[in-house]
Amino acid sequence: MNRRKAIQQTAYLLGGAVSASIIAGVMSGCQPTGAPDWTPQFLTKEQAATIGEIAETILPETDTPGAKSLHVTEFIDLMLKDVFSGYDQLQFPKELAKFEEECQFFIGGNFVNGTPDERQKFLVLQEKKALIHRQQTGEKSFINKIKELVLTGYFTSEYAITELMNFNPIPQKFEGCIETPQQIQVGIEGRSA
Amino acid sequence: MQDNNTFDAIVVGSGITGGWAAKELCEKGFKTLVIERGRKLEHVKDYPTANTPIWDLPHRNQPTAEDRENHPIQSTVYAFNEGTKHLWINDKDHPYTTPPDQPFNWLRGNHVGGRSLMWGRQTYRWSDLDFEANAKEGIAVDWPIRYKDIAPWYSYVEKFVGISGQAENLPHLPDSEFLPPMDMFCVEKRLKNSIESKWAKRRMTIGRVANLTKAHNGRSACQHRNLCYRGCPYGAYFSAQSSTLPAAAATGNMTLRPDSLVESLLFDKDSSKATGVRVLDTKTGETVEYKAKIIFLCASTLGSTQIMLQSKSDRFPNGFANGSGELGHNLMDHLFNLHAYADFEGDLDKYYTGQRPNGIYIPRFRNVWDKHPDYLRGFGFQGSASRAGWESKRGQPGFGADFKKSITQLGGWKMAMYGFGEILPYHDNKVQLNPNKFDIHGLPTLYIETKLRANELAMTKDILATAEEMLSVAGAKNISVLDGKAPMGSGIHEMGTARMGKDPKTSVLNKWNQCHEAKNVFVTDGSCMTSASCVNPSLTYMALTVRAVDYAVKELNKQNL
Repeated sequence: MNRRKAIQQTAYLLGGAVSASIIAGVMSGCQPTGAPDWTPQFLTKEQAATIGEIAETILPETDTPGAKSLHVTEFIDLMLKDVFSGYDQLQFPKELAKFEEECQFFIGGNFVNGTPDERQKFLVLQEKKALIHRQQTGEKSFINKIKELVLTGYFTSEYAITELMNFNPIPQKFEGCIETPQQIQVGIEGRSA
Repeated sequence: MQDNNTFDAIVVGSGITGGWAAKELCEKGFKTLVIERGRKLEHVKDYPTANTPIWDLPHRNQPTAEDRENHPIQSTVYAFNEGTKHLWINDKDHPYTTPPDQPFNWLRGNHVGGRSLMWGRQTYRWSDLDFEANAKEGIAVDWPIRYKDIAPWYSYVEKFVGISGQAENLPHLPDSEFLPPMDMFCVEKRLKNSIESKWAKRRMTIGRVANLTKAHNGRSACQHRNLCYRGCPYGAYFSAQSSTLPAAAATGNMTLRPDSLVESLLFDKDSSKATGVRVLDTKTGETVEYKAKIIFLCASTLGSTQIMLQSKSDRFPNGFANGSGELGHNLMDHLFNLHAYADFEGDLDKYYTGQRPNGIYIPRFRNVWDKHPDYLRGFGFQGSASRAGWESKRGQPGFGADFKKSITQLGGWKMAMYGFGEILPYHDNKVQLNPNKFDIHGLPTLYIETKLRANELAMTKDILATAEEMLSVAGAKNISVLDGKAPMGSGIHEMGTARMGKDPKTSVLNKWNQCHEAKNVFVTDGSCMTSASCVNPSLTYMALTVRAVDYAVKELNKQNL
């Protein structure tokens, strides 16, 4: 990490006093990449690209699929359009803009321009800040909301349920106290399938 | 039958009690008209989401903003989601009012079968601890019946319904005619052992539930999908659709008329009997009159009470058969949304198969053998263990491959307990017609005034403290308790607004659920209840209904009606 980034991060953790426009000037020329190949209904294409990269940073491709390939971004777009209340719909783009602004300080560019490592470190910082905010106010921050959406979208997808969980649509019986079967990879608390 | 509009019997409502009244009357050879205000809803065919996996529900089972806007009250129900929302009434079209600081949650459907489709299916007998309570404590009025009067009818109903449960030989929670009990989770067994060894008289048993643990009366055994609230294509839980209405239809004696709102009962002053009902066809807007020798009101507590309040005449200026002035009063429910949660360490090598549509039950232990200094009556607990999966780990910090790996691994065991407490009958917890607000059909709406009082508030404290204590003694960790401050009605056990009693001066119905002042009208839904007990009431409504039909038919045959 270079000195400039270290200063920015410190400032950010302390509440952030460095002007965004200064950083934005330094970083001009950075354009979002990885624009989605589907048409978002609520988000702009740019926002959808960012959400996609956040989702993929939370749940990346490993030996199992990542969030993007399970269409978590499309799910989040639909939730924003249909499930979020009017107030939350208004807040979300504002919170995303603030997230990007802070990202400029931290990784010197938009979130999509960060390396996987930079993105993850930035999310860790966001989550630490969110924890303090929640302890002080009881409110969830952007990072908490987006993480919940990503996890819900991922683990209620057909792939996750049928391939990663002990999926049995018609169990026929209930046994409450048996040895844990080998094939369980993902715990599920019921009612979800 | 003299003409198309004349029947032997009319049943208003097709839910858990209306279905029973229809079945019994039809099987006794009565040409019976069953009138339902809601839409037609056929078994299996009209359960559109019964087999829909969550990924095929567009919003993965979450209600949309529009759903919440159309169902501001209904969407607060635990059983309201994307897969069930079509079964809950549109609150905007069916308004009611309350004082601003006294909210009441009136939770209901608008279809054939009523709430028998969406009920929680917990099924318990009441006992003389309940039926004697008012008399012993000088509360409200005495029940006109005792356990021995209803016991055979419990058996009769249970044999048809099919109730899974474990016999416990508790006098204050009598055993039903049981199908085999469902299993407990390991940590539930640990909690049970802990409670029963610490407190000799307390019991924890598996929930008694109207889900079939084996094939029964032509209906399939429960498949343990735990999707009951969407309607069961196997008919594996008791609903009017799966059970009573098909039996009634099979006789050839039932005429079922959905989309038909009963505006009022028709009364003949000379004979002091009801002659029939006036019905608004909600599709055509036409008004039709139907005649019958006997009428069963089974339209739900507030539904039947509303019809009676609307049925004003010279003889009954304050509502049908309301000489006592008690109609609409004494509205009760159960204390609800009183939660306790805890983690249980260990048993990490234990798991389960299937989804259990049921939980555990801790029967009442307060004011049974001794007297609590702060309040009357008591409470029971329902609850369930679960094994933490990704849902519980949503708040866990971290990102990336390691996070993904950790969140997909099984978590520890948790236990949730929910208290259900008895609410006393208070004259001032009441419902009236609101002359200033009308529904989409132009009928007056209900104005509901309820509040919890000192007895309920003292009990609430004890419910939370007791849950915490039992979890703590069992070695649970991270115990938290929560008073959800649920408005009355949230228990979906509204009762009492046309109560039974011995004296026509202080009650609406006699010991046969018969209006004191109109002998051919029987009210057998929750409105008849004289007190609320702390256990789920549906089984008692069903038993009272078949008992009343038996009596009504005998009286008719004796030419007494």
